[in-house]
Amino acid sequence: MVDMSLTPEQQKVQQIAREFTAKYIIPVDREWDEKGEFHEFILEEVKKAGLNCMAVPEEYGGPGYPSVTQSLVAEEWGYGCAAFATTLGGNGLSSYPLAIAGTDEQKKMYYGRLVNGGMGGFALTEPGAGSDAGACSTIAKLDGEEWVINGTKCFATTCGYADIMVVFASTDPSKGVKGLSAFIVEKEREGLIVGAVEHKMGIRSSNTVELILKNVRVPRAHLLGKEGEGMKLAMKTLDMARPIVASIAVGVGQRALDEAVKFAKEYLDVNGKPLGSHQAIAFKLADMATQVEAARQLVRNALRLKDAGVPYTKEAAMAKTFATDAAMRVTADAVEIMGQYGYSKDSIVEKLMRDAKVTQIYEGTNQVQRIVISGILLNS
Amino acid sequence: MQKLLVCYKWVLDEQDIKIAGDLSLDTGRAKYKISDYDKNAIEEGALLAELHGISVEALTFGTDAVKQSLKDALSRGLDKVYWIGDAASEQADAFVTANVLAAAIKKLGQYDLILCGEGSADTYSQQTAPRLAALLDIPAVTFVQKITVADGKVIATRKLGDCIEEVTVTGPVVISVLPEINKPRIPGLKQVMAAAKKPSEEVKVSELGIAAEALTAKVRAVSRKGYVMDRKKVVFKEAAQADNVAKLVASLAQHVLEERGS
Amino acid sequence: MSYALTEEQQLIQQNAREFATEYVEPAAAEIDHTAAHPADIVKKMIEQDFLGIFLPGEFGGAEAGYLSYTLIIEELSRASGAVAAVLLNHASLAAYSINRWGSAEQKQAYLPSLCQGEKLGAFALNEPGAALGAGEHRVTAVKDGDSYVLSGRKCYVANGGAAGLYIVFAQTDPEAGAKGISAFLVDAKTDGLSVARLIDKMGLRGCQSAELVFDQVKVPAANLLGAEGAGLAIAAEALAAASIAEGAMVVGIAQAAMEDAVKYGKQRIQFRRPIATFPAIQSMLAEMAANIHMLRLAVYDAASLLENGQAFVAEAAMIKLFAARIGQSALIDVIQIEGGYGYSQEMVASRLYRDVKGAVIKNSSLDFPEKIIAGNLLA
Repeated sequence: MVDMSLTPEQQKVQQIAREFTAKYIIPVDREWDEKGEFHEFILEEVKKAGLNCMAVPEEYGGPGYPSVTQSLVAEEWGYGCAAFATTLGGNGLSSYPLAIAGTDEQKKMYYGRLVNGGMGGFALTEPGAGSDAGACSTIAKLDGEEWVINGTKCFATTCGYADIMVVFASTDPSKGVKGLSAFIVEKEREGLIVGAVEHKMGIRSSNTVELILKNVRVPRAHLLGKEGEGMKLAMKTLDMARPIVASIAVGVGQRALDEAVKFAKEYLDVNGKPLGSHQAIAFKLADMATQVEAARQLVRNALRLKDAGVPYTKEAAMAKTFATDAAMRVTADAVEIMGQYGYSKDSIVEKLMRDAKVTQIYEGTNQVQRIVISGILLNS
Repeated sequence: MQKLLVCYKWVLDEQDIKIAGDLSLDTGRAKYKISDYDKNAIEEGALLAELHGISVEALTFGTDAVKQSLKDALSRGLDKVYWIGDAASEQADAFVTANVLAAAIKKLGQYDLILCGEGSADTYSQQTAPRLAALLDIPAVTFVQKITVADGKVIATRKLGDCIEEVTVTGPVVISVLPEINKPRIPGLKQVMAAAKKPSEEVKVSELGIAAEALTAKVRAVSRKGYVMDRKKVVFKEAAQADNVAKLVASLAQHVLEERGS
Repeated sequence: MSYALTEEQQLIQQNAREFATEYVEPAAAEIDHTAAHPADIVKKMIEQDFLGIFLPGEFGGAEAGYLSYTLIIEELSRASGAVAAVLLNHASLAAYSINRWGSAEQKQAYLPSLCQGEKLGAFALNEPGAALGAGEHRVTAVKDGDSYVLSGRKCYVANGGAAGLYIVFAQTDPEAGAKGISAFLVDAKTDGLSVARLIDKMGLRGCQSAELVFDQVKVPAANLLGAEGAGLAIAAEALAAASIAEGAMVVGIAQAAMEDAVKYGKQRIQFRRPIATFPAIQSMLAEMAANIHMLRLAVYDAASLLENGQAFVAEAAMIKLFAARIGQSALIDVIQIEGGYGYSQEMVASRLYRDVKGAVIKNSSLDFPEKIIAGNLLA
């Protein structure tokens, strides 16, 4: 079915991503979830398909896709496996700070590693700093021409095997939130220790780790943007990432919907009629489809504003909240419609229901999103 | 060995008691329970009764609330419960309790072995069993963690501060038990349902011929306050972690010295 | 809660809580991890007379009533939904059906061993790929002298593989569609009956789920439960009785989850205050507290109706409908409150999230609570 709102170029990329997903992701989504592992060989295939680090501009070796195009790919990946989408999406997330505040040198360094097939990591959260990201206790001190960073990060996506990451640390604890700064840290830096691996209920093949920094030294030039601008940078980064995360959620919702529709068509009830012939089921599917489509359009809208250079923070937060809440509802509904089969590991929908839950939490909980939205509404 | 008696107390469950800001106790939501070590005493009585094919009864003294304890007690392997519900129990200390129990026991008949918990969950005076024995003019054996009955004799193992002592008693005896003696089984459904069919009998204080002085507590509770341990909230914030560790160690060492009173 | 439980019911509830805390809670994580049938705990439940809670004393039951049973299910569910599910499938489906529709001989033959836990009971209802009687693998029962011969496959059989007795729903009259289904009492050890595979599930993992193969399984005609063709009606009522207990499961799981979230919210500090002080968190907690409270009352009420021999099917359907909704939303919110930590496999909340969904799963397409309720209204 052709999406008339997309340009031919976008339709082409969407098709490539769709085929990639069908060929490489869907056949192993179950296995990755069970093992909690991600096969890095996939990155080679992703590169070949031109889908690696989509956010990297052409001048730095990336495909330089516009935002809507990126979201199409993210949605297809989300359709295949939210964990995979989160991991690849993490490449984007971690590269956004460079787009916002990176110097040419820094961009060359960071983007270069991603374009060559490396993974990017983003380390902001700490045990005492979740929604309250400003309560950061990782410290960075200038020692001559080097920054020395000490602290512990947690729930750091992909940092277990990321080649390069953006790490947030406080350069002036007395200033609280205004003392936060961002740094580029490569994995080979001494003192960078990957700690405990999180065993999660869902998006299990996405690597989530504790990151310990013990006197990690990086050159002065690795400070991203200005000292004290870390929080602003983090917020802008999350703004950019939210619609992508929302796209992943749309993909998850679409997959759940497709599985439920297939089931409703094929599963015969006690009278030999398809389950979908029961109006209660049919109407539920209609509601699910409406939710997914509404989520999709909210995402596209937010990204069109972004690509037009217009403020889009509120729309991005709306898209993230709506799409992830919708994914949660739709996946739960799919399991319900599909009964015992849906609840078992014979079906993929139980995984979708486990994966969907985290989308309501990461990239800023949906409660934080509502603070953002209402803040803009009430302060304008 | 023919008849066993277990004495138990029906107490407020301390888990339900809330401590207010001024340290006063809020018992509004508190439910009652059989005092913890008394559960061990009941279990021991039930086990001995099962093992030797003899009867085991129970006796309890409290306010009217004790009526709620009957099915609970009877579901734990007892054949019958005697209950005394009287306002006198509200201010009663071990002196009064022992007087009432002794008077009741004298009326109810001869028991070969009387079991009590080492102390009650609320006041823990540990006096009731020895006082009871003295009033009945029979021996008391306390801190018991094991009981064996053989050849009409009771062999009790006592867990004392610095040793384990084995005592053999011939003839009626009051024994107070430690929680180590057994792990009370959770009553099965059939036991709970059967409790309603088992006998219970009220004993009235007025019919026991107890003198007024014997019903007046010698120990009067002046106040009851909650105990809250205040956190010291000391934070070690030196720049170098090694310094923090050193400070922590020094602080702990100081604390230990203070506790030892040196 | 001012709902007056009898003294016995209060004691039963208390004891069940003690049992769950002492024996079930410490084993819950391991049971979920290995997904193995919790035989040890079942043994302990037998000692507590849990296997025949509401069954008549003459067959070894405790005669404690259906309400006591739901109290026990709730307490077990707080600790482990899987353990509760094992008991539920045995009691509300298998034992209930025999007690309700069995002949005197059948009751005498099967209830004592179910009550004493010698045999665990299970319903073999669902079939692969389609609803009961509609698919190519449907189990058919062909009369042959004074036996029936059963052939076909059953799947998602709860307690499958662990049960000693299955109540198998098979098609005796292919022409009659839904009215051609009959129920049979089938011993697990009968020749031709085998476990094809155990099925992994999202949650309630200790309640084994199996696919069974019936390869010319010969069942004595005396093992027909109720009349030929009464299968669907039997299943419908038994599922209704089970719905009440499933409601109790959701109450237990959601209550445990809520308490966990409250504990977490009080000690998790963000923005310099416990997150439990934030209105957003409080309204989530308030919502789930209210829902759990309502559901609990509905369960007590429906259980009382059943216990007193009154009509209960519509109320059971209401419970199924409501429990699915509120159990789901409560657990979505609990994990939301606990954030990244709640999402971790190490924390109890993620297991509760996975388990609560299993408590309200529909069985084949027989379960349409809306239709049952509406049917009752419009009758």
